[in-house]
Amino acid sequence: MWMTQFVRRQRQVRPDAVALADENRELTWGLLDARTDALAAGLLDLGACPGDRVVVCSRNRAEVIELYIAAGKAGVIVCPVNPTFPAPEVEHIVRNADPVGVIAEEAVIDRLDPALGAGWRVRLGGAQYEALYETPPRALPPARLDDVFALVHTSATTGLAKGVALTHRAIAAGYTATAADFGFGPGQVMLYPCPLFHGSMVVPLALLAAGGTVVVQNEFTPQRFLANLRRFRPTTAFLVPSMIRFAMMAKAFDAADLSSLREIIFGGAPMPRELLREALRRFGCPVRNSYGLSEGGPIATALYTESDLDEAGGGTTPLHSSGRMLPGCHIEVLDDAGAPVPAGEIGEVCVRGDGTMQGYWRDPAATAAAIRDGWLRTGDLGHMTEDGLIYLIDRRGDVVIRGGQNVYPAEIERVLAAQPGVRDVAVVGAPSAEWGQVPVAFVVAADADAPPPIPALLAACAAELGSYKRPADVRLVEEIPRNAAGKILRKVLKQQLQPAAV
Amino acid sequence: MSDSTDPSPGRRLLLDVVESPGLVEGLSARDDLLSAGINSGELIRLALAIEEHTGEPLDDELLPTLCTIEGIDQVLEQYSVGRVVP
Repeated sequence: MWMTQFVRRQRQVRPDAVALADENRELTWGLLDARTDALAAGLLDLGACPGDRVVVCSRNRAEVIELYIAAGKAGVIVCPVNPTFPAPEVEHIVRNADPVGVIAEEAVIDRLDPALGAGWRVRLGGAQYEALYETPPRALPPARLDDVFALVHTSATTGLAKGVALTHRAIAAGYTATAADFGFGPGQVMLYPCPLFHGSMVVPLALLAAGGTVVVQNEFTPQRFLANLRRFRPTTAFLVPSMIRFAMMAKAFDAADLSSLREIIFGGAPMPRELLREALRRFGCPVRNSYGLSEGGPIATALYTESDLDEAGGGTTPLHSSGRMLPGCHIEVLDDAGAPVPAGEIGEVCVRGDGTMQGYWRDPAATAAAIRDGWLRTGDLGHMTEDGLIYLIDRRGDVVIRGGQNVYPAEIERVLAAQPGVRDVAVVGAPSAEWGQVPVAFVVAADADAPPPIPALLAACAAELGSYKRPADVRLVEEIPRNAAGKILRKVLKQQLQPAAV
Repeated sequence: MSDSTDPSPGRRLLLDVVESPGLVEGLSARDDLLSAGINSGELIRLALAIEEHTGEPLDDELLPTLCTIEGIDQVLEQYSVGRVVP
């Protein structure tokens, strides 16, 4: 049982070292192993059997990671749910996962109770929950590596959420890949303010498996993140690009204590090159780009960046690449028939390896559509260079079809993002009587009082893109709407559009 | 002191940062912002907007106060009279 193994091993090697902390407590490996043993026994005493699902619905706190480990030890499948979801979304996930019980913060149960299904409820932090840590030890059922460890529900931006079944083997693969490529190990401390209900929770689990320390931040605010850098002195932090940008916008940033950071890791969304350059300069440490998706492990590629000098600046750093495949993860760019495309040509990025999901929970049709001939079709369009660098172009579903020709929004975004005075950009398709669809760009000015001239932006597109790719309209906006993972909410932008008179 | 036709500074600031101002218009001063549909990203932007408004770093201990319009007004008031020692 892998979850048992890694905690047990670290307890044997470094029982008094801090394994896990949040803003209220810290736990040594000795304590973490003992508490999760008791919690696992407690879950079984509550009536959960191996293979049953238990929903965990909470903001970030150390107990959430304890619950994940305990569920793994008990052979129970943990199903993390976003505690801020409205009832209909929670109801959908609960119906899909069909859990025997729910462990959630009191306020969450009070708000969502009817949506949480017919199973038992335990209030996180309440007396019943705390009593679980006193459960007498019992023999825990041995799980196999191919048993499902977690059901992580995917982003709803593509429709109704689907449950991604990740096995113990997938979690172990995340550890193997990051230990080998990121150098995860004892002595490293990760500040983790991203939501633990997200697939990226594999990242802190991988660091724990390697013997490092994870500090869970309750929720992200730039002010608290900067305060926690001083308090916990992490060697690394895992963030989405929006968090990096917000942190650098905070008044306290310039006086923040960044001295403990050896690197920043980001994922969840591509980082605009200007933002990446700014992060490298202002954080003063290397930045590691990680690309993946819940279905794929969820880290498939990574790129460690120390220099902000790309080709345009006289250097060789491929700033807008997502890096190369990680050990244990095989990546190819395939065409629709499943054949590899030549280097440099756009196709669908496909992943296979131990980290890949077992499938979508109780959805064989969706699983068959996503995994073909052993390859997970990510839905991400991109290309790979001869030396294995992956460049993502767009999501397949975001393609704008203009007069029968495909336009990838990310191509336009890449050009506009590189223009002076542009802070952020997103492109979506607008309905057009003449062309079917035309791309429209939403641009956020770096300085609202001196926005970039729109004719200059259009001229830049004309200079770098085929004529059919030029946006029909460029609109200045205050913010690009993004979801909790930092991904652009294109549907929100599309709602702002009227049929374009082109 | 504000009245019904004169939005408080906190309400005005909140209106500036939310994507759907209609959400704010129906809120009373003590309504919980998250429960009313204001998302965590908007609250982050609110905290940054307060820093811009006051010119001072916002003490992270004050962040939980920003859960109602009344709380935002209190924070703005504290900064404006210099009672906060970050």
